[in-house]
Amino acid sequence: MSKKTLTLMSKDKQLFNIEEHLAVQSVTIRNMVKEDGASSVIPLPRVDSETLALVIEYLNRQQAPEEDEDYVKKFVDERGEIPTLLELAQAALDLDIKKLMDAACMKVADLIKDFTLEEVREALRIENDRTPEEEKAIRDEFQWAF
Amino acid sequence: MEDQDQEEGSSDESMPWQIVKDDVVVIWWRPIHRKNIFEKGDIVFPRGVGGRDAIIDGGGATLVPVAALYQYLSLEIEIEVEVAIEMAVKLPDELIVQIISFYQQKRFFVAVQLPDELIVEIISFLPAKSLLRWRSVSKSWLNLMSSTKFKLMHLHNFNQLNPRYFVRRLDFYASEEWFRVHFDNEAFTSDRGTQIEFPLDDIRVNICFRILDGLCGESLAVMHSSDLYGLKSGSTYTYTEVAMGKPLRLRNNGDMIVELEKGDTVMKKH
Repeated sequence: MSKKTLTLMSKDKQLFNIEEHLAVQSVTIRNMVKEDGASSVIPLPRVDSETLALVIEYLNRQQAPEEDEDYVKKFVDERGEIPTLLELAQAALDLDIKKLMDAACMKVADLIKDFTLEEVREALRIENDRTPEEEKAIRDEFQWAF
Repeated sequence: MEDQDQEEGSSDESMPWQIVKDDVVVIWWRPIHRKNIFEKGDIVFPRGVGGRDAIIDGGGATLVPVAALYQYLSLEIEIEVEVAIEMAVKLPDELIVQIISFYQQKRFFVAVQLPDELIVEIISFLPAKSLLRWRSVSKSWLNLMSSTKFKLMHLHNFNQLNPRYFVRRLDFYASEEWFRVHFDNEAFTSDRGTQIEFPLDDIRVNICFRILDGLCGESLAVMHSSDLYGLKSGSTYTYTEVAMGKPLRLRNNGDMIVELEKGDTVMKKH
């Protein structure tokens, strides 16, 4: 019996093939397949090709279920850069691949845990919407945490 | 520009350098007579946040993301590194100064905002100490952190990652009561890396509580690292340092709940 193949398209219009039984680890894809058989190309407008290649690599893993936990940890460890991990986590969120998202988020958390305010704003792309006075008031309240 | 010192000379004394470490390209702008380390007065353009690791000991150098340079010059964010280096070489000092003040005035921010779901997931794995320090990151972030949903998620995620026990020991000989926090591992090591005798001798009564803490309820019960709330072996501390004005709820594997109020003494004389 030949295995059915799905085609995924990244934000920058690159095409990736993956066997259906592996692709449906993504709940989003599983639902799409259920609904309309997903015979055509599945577009992923928020995922760039570099990230999608990583996701495909993850989905294609040949691992026994009991080794999975270690595998996903190692997988994100090898991609220890915050921007890459954030892209990966976002793709995993869109595609609803819980394990991958959890692992990527956990890794980011580990990398940023000692960051200062400014650094964490930059790393997680958060805009400062407070005045210096407001910031100081909050800072003084929890001085011991700094 | 207070980071610029008097050694910064005219533009022909400055030159950009490029270093590559861990695949991170850093464009480095420094006076020519300097040794190969970053110091005050240097201007460093790391490529992305990852660049931070390569220059973590920046020695007071001014760090500006390369993206700020692109944005200032109204260029596409995705530019080749080689082009950026070539550009940096040509830039006059005055422009570099302008880019830095542009960046520091926060008119620059990185392109796409991350979805709240992702932020919540990431910070739910962080110790309460980090979260408290970052309360003023932004208003929306404080709202996220204050929600009951987040507190429960944090309780689950953080504790799953860092299981610890709170140990209460009654020493009948010395008539003293001790409280310590230990990791849930075979060595039963404490948060400070110290060890207590284990198995515990029978003269002393020990009660272990698994720590159920986090930003639970309204109480900011911070129980992650002993130095946070002054639990160091052999010393006397009170909960005034820790309980944040609200009861601290500790629960063991059964259903016993101990609530400690602000001002409770950690080590009691009987």
